[in-house]
Amino acid sequence: MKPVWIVVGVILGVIILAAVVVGGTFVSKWNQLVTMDTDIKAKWAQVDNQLQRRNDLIPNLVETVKGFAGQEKSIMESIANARAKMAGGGSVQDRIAASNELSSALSRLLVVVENYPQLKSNITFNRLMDELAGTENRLSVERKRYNDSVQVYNTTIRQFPSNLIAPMLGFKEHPFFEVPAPARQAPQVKF
Amino acid sequence: MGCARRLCLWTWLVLLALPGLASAAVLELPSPAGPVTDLAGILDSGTKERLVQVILDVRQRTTAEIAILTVPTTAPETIEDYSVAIFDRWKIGERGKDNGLLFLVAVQDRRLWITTGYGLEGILPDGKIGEIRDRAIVPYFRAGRYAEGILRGTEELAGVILAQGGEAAQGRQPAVRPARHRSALSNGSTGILLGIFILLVLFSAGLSAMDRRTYVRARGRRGRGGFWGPFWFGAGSGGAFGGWSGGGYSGWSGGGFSSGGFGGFGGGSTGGGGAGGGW
Repeated sequence: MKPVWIVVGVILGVIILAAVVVGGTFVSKWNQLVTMDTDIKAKWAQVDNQLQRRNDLIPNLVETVKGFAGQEKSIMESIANARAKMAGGGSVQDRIAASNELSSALSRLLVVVENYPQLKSNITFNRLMDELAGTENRLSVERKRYNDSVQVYNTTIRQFPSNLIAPMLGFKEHPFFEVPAPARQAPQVKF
Repeated sequence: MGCARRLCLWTWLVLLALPGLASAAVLELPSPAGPVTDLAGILDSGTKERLVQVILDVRQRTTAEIAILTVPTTAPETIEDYSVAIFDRWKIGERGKDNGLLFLVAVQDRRLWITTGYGLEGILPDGKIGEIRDRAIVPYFRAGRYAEGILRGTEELAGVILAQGGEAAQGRQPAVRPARHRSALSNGSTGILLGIFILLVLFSAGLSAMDRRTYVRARGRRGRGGFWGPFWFGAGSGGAFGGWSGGGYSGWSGGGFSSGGFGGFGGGSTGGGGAGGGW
């Protein structure tokens, strides 16, 4: 064999090798992104469960509060509106925005409730407040798990070589579930 | 050796990164000393013994696990976040059933929180826990009789689990449990392994096709390892392996541990359900 063939062989080998490495990377990255994307969707479904659960609690809560504090119409209306928006569905971003609106309406209600000692000693109201506080806590747990996954995913698709692969396959960044500062604390139940 | 030096370098990089990792973990979480961990020192030994009895009884009859933790304070975390962090770390309840319960008391904060695993949410809804808290726990706590409040509350919670949890805890998969994904890493490594396998086949085919004597003459007597070794390494780390720096993604670390006679909890998880408050 002449040396020139060895050189050609080595070059060919290197090209094939590079193709295999690139192909392998592509496939494994693709699978990784699919897994992460599915994971984020599953985590969002958990968040959505809790949003739904909270929405289901609100009619009862509103009815109970009305019995004691019927004059707080504007707050009741803003809660009803925010709840309707939540029930309307929409994209993840829409639901995050609607959820934050509902949270702020609920926290205003909780401030107002302080003025009604009879309501605060009502058993039904207290059970509902426990359910609401528990749901807010579940929501914050699922929100954190969702955000953690989104962070890893969003970082990954911006890194090389995923940043080349992700746009080709239609992987986009997922939105974080950010909560405005005042609503970040779960409603405090006082006795 | 080149590889040994590389290993050395990696070790150093890992060692250098460790302090950073340690400071990233902000929250110092206590380890369980058993089913009852009394870090605030508010339980007398009699009450503690009785609590352990109740808890073991529940565990034996329903597989549900109750953990009790008292701390002076949960600061800087809220008691809700602290509870979930402890639950995630201790993994209370049986894996798959997620039938764990954490009764956390922060004495100086004057707050308590009872967290349920996914599998107990059905028989112990937040409102029910709140009712037990108001009736059996808070009145004692207000009088400063913490041990009594914890015992009464635990007995009430255990009563509910024993009454309704017998069949509920027998292997019914909770509906709302989130899907866990373990496959991110395995998918990727399968791809990489496949790639490496193909490369190996290609290489051995290429090598045997070449005239061995020409090869040896051209390269001197360095042997295959000397020539191909660095190239292998470069191809591997530059290509396929480089992408895994974002590790730690596929969650699910093994549950359970042992700490002096106490076998640890079963690997359960929580979604943050439960109730609590101040007193």
